[in-house]
Amino acid sequence: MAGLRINGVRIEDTFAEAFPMTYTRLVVTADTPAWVDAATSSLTGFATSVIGCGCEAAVERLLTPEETPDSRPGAAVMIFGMSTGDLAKHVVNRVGQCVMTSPGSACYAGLIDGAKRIPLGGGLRYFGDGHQISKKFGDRRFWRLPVMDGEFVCEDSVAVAKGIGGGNFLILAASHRQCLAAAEAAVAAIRPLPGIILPFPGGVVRSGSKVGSKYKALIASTNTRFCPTLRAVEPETLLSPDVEAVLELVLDGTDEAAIRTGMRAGIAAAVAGGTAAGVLAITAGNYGGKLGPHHFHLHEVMA
Amino acid sequence: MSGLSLTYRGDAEMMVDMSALLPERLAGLTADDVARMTLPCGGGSARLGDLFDLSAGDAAEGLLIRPGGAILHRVGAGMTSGRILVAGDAGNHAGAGMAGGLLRIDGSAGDSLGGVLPGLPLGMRGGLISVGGDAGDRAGERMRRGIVVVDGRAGAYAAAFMVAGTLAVGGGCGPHPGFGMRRGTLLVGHPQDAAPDGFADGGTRDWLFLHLLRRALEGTGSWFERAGTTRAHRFIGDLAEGGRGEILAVV
Repeated sequence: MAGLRINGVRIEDTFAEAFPMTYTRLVVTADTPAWVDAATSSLTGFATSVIGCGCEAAVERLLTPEETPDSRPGAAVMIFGMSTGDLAKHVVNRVGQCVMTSPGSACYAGLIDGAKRIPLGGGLRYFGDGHQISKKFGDRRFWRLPVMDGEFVCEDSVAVAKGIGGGNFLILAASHRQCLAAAEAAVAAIRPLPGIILPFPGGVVRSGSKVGSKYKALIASTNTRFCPTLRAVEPETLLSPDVEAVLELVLDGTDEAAIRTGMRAGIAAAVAGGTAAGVLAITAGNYGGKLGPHHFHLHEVMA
Repeated sequence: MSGLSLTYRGDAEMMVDMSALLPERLAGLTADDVARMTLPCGGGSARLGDLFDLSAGDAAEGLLIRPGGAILHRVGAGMTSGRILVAGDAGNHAGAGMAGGLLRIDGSAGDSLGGVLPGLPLGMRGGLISVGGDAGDRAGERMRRGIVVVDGRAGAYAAAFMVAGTLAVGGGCGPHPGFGMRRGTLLVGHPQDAAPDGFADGGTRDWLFLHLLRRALEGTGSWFERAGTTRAHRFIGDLAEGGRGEILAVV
């Protein structure tokens, strides 16, 4: 397997290193798909990396009216945090500031069953200033908060579960344009899959990081080994002279199977055009196995 | 419905207290065990087997009651889980104090449907009651949680002193709806021009949470499951009790 190539593209014999995270899933609805997008864009904004943002979030998939509790257009959003407490803090803040404020929106639990729960409407209800109304239908409790366009309906709480963050692979290409095209193809292949999100802008990262920095205040800094502009001065560069650009896809998912499925679909799409499309190699980011217990070996993923 | 079925074969107009016949209490009992139970009836008591024909089956799967000519009071009163189907009319206090499960009455119900049993502070605390016909007075009285849906009309004092929960009446209510209501929702299936006594006019709009109610009623075949609208006129009250309850009249 040491010399694995797909469509002529070299698949490096390395692994992506991922780590345990806690996640939840929310269902956001609104009057129209455009307002669903407005609410979820805000909800998942500034949520690319848990290091700088506190959580990682993105739309998992769009929902038809038949799939949502209130028969309106909606979206399933997954939010990942490092702990249940951390996640609880970010979720209630984001729903309060980004969903409740969005016209016509409502927010429901996308993870319904589970012993561990974090508050949604249960934490926001006091905004109703005593006029909030609780409705319990079956086993699910909802809050109705009076707002200026009517009522904000929000489920009382949502379950959380153990997930995985940091699944990844990197695309090494002969030009920036070709690298971006391959990354876009990979994103398009991964986005329809359930249980996975790509939290970075457009699903792609261009500023991969390494642990540590020459500056003591920083815990992470640019991944010099993958910076083409530093190739001549970086002794540990991992780029051959023909690589002009590198882009990374980071995947958070519900479990190893989801991450593995996503990586396989993404890599397959990225290398579909082969070396003729300028894609030279696929590799992955790891920290020598010291960061997380989940290792996704590229050759196994693509076997 | 699979499970245990009871078909009344005693004297017509006999009043029987059915509160002992709850799915959770009968689960695992054989039909013979159940037939040996004693029920209060007609000012005295009688063996259940002398009043009803019983089928073989486990009440844990559901309890089907065919009332015949009897007046069956307190059907499902205090029920916490399981299903009871009444293929006909029920008497007073059906589902009173109920805390969970499903009670379906194909015909009409008497007074205090989902209401409060004498001497107790609160009415229904959970579960779902669906009535195909009418309900008597004081439906949902002092109700705390759960859903009661009545396809026909309800009598006087519907949702009186309601604490929380939802009473949905398709055919409208008798006098004094929501009297003393503290919180909760009384949903009625017809437009209402004037605010009931003790209520303030809160205007007309689409209510998103009614979609959730409709989803909760899926499979009951009830009037609101079939209603094509979530637009309703809201009346807020009872103002004498803080004004946090509501009557929603579908428009």
